Amino acid sequence: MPINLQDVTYVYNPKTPMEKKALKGVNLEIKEGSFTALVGRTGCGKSTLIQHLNALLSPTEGAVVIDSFHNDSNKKRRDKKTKDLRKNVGLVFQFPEYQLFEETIEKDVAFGPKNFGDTKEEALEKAHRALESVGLDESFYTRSPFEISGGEKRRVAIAGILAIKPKYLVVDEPTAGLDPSGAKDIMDLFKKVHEQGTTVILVTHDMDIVLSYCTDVIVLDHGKVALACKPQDLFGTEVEQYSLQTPQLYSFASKLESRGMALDHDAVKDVASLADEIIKRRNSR
Amino acid sequence: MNIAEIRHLSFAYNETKSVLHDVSFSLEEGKYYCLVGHNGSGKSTLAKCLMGLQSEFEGDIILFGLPLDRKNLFSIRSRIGIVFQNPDNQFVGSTVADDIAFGLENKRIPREKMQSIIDDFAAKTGMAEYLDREPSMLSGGQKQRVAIAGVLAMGPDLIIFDEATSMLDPKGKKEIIDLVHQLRKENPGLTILSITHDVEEAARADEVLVMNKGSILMQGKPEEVFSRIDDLKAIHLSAPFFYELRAALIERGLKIPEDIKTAEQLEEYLCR
Repeated sequence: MPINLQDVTYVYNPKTPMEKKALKGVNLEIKEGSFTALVGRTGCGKSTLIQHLNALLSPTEGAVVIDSFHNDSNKKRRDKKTKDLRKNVGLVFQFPEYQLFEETIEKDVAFGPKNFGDTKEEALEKAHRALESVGLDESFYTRSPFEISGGEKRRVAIAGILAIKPKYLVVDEPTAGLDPSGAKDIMDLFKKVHEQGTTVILVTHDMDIVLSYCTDVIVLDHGKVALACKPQDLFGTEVEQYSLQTPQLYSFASKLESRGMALDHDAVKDVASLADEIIKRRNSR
Repeated sequence: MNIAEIRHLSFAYNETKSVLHDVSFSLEEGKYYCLVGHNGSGKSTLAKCLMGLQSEFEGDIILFGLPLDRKNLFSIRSRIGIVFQNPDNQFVGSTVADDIAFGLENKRIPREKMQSIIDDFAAKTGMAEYLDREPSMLSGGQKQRVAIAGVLAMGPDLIIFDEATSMLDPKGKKEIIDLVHQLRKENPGLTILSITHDVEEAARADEVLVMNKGSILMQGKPEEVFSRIDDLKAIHLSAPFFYELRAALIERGLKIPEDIKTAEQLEEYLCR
């Protein structure tokens, strides 16, 4: 089932001088099995929105429907089911490495499954599988999560969420602060997770990533949905008004087109495919 | 004139973990350098050594003509400004003005002078209207501009940006990089060393230094460094869009004349 947001409004610090409306009547469907990007300028409501997806926040008005779970302002109805929801919706915060806390990496990753009722052995088994999927081998199991590099720490933190095998994986700027190859590794990991059937919801500022990896994109602006479309269709519109940058790749392709070189939009996803298209067009002239 | 000379610098956190091996390079006054390299390549450790935050190194670090040692540490530090990665971790003042004033207070600048210095640097960084604001209420780009104003107020000769834009959104990033270019125009003697993952920023620098496994692998003009795309790939670094596309087209058998040096020229050439 898709995730549905129905007229969701969220107000921080209501009835105080600090009152701030972060979401204003958001209506949205996130398709099951999609790799959906959530984009928009800093402060547009992205982080507020994703915290609704596993009930860390509840709407002031409206409802978020995830499978059989209704996240709305009525807390009583919700309490018992919240744990199930959190098992289904894994949320990876920005800079998740700040949340590492255990003595060893395997214990840190096993914390989630254990918390959801697994025995120690089951939890460790899941932790090992999750570590394998993020590319960390046995030699990491008993090391401290505080003595590894920043990129490795982030992978451990992500493994901690993957270990609970969520049906929906929500990640908040997973590539921030990483070098390009570290960013690519992380994104390829999410691609793999997506291909295995997980719905991935990604908050990002990097439009190159949206173009290369995502199936759908949602643009938030001042707490409202400004656009919901395919990534390829996004960059034809005036995205600068939402503080988004058209990827260089795309603007380069558009300029070639405006000068009469017809390129196949859907085929252009990265530098290699752009180069292929250019060669193809030149040869067919 | 060289404001920094690094000779045979080596550093290890402990016996098993050697981070810098025999690093040598120099920085010329007034130039804008970008230091790139993947995570774990030793960039941040190198920066810490330059700032005098790691004193147990081997080799020589000579800054402003003085060897970096206990005796010279404070006079050297007073000439270096640092802008860190996380804008939230570097505020001490409860307002933007207080924050810019912090360094000046430490320097015991008289109050009468302080106000005009604060106004001056807030204006230069585009933060004049925000002097009474609380830093925590600002956007990431604005926070970094306040940090830069605070650093500039101290009149440094060298500013080190330690991944200062990596936590900002594209707009914030652009604001900061544009500001750096503007500052350079206003202060021709100011040297900048920016540790960054942003290759598009590096493409606009005077020189690029590439670090890998604790050594300086390349140093040169952006076009020299980024043309060595296979060497960069070998250490998992990417080049700016133009260089990547040019290499991909050449690989596919297209001949591209040497004098094509920007994406605009390439576009022109392809459509000819």
